[in-house]
Amino acid sequence: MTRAVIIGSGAGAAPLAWTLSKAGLKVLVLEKGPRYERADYVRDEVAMSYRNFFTPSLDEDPHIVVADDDPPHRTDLGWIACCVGGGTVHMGGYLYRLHPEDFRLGTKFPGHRDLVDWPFTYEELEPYYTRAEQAVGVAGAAEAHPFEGPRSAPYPLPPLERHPLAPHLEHVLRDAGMHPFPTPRSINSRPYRGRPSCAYCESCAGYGCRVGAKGSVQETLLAQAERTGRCTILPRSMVKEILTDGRNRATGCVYLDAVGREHETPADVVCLCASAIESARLLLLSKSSRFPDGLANSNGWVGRGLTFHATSSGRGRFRRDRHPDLPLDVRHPFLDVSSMDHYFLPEGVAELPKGGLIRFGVPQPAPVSTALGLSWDEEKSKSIWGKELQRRLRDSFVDYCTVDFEVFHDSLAHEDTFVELDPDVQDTWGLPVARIHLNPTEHQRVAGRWLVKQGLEALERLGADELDSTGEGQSAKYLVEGTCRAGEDPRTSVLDRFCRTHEVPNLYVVDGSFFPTSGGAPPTLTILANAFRVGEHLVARDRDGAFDSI
Amino acid sequence: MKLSDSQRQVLRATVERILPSGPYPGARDARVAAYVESELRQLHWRSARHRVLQGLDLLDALARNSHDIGFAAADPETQDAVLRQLQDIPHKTSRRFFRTLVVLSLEGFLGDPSRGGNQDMLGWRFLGYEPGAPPPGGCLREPEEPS
Repeated sequence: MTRAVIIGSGAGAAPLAWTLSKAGLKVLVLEKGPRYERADYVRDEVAMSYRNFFTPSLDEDPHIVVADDDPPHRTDLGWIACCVGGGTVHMGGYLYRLHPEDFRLGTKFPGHRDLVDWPFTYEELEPYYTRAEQAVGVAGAAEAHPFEGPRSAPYPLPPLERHPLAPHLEHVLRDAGMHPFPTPRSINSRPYRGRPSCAYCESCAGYGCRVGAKGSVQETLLAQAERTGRCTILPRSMVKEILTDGRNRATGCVYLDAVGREHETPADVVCLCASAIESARLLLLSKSSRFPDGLANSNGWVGRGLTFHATSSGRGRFRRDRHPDLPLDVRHPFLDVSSMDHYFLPEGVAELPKGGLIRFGVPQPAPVSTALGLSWDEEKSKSIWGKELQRRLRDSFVDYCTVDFEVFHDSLAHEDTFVELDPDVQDTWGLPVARIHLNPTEHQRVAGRWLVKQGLEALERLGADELDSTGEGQSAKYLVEGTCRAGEDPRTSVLDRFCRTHEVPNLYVVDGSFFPTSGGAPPTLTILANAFRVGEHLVARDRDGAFDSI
Repeated sequence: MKLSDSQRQVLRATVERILPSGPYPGARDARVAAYVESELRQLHWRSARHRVLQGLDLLDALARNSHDIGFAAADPETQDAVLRQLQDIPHKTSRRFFRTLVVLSLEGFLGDPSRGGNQDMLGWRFLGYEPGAPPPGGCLREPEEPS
């Protein structure tokens, strides 16, 4: 029986674990973080957001960031989640497909040197988009919106119930010639495949789901993989090195268990799915005499091509006493109105006419986070306290209702944005941590500014009393792509079109690392879909004997 | 972290000025000082303890130097004046000390009551926030179980 070792247990790992174990391979999943149960996903904002529940502590396992003129410092930038299920446990579950044009920006914009085509098309990925939507259970309504690529099947679940403000906002958007559609969410709008429907509890994004209604890979694919009897998941197992032999074949991994004991485990095929920063880091750590610059890195491309997805944001605040026509007093977690109308920019806005996807929402109540923000005067670099703080808190919560929006858009790869091993800082296991050099291009700020303007105009038409831009072209800390680029040319890529490393024939990197360009829509559904595609390919190669030990 | 009685009193007084009682509910009503003290004993705050102790002693020294009275014994207006004086000191450690106490006070006022503060959900009720309030159309639904 072919033995596959999968490193990581998130959106890239889980479809592989599911596909391979169902096809009869023996699968071992090594996850650095803990394994939580539903009962662990409590509603405690401080515990979830400020006590390293999902991401490691900066003392033990940091990333280092070098950005602007600041000295290198510890950060959780690029840490998605360190637990079984990865980021899909705490995600808001905004599972959009990329647009067909996202796969061919090199052809569409030949003048731009950092834009390249993906080594496969939307059409090739499409059946796996459908499979991924069905696997985790995405609630949406595709008929409503003309900007998507073709679909082979509708969404498996109808849209979630929405805040009564949603039709008001959609009306305003349609009047302006736009085509709003319900935000596709990986949350059960009905009981689905043995899991209950959503309880509409308001502790969603940033929290694990206590009732199992959010389509994390833990609840879905990993649980099913384990039920085959051929998949073992080992939490608190930190892989420190991938081993290769004299024929440049991966032979297994070395990992540390929860008490720091070292283990070596053999593998016929190794799939590295630790997320863009950590996968690149592990390749760089796995040096040998044959790979002095890191495993599969003879061309120096591991760590390059890094993108942090661009996000921009804004909000409109409505005084509760001024809008008798609007249902502002209703408490409901989901507004879920999206628009892809500005996925491409009109001429003259930016050098590259690539825009983004706007997602309108109502902010989730986060009293501590909101209060911490209100208690800080950025200009004076001082805390606000006392009666003034209390007044601000009360004004913000009681007197206003807020509608906000987030725009997901492209971040362009650039030679000044990359990840390498840090020369100074080590993690708690004594291994060099990842050092991120972050220098986003001007495009995302220019595009972000324009996109925010569109969102604010919509909220102004809805009647907002106050409008604020809250971010223009920022770097989303846990939407990361690109560090092991996939491409046809082994001189300028790390992986081939099936995410196999060019240099090690039984080593695959299957998470967000492969993205040759970031795309506009957020990456999670594409990571899931691609992993299903690669999994199917691996099964075919296995049947051909590609992973037989000789 | 071992607080002397006098440091404990300075801590309590500071927290009660960060979130004063009247006209709004404040730290005293919601048991925030007890949360802050207990939270500082947790591992997460171990690197903050030293600057907290230093900061509490500094507040007391400032009060005695400028107003001839210990911080805890001073009236609220004097305490506020001393805190503003502290904020004006251009020194990283004293600034971080004050920020740490503001952060802890807000956690204690608005965090989940299961953590020990936000007594009787007083902080939440001040903001008009009721977690688990029913969405429109009926009660907070029980998740529909698959049949």
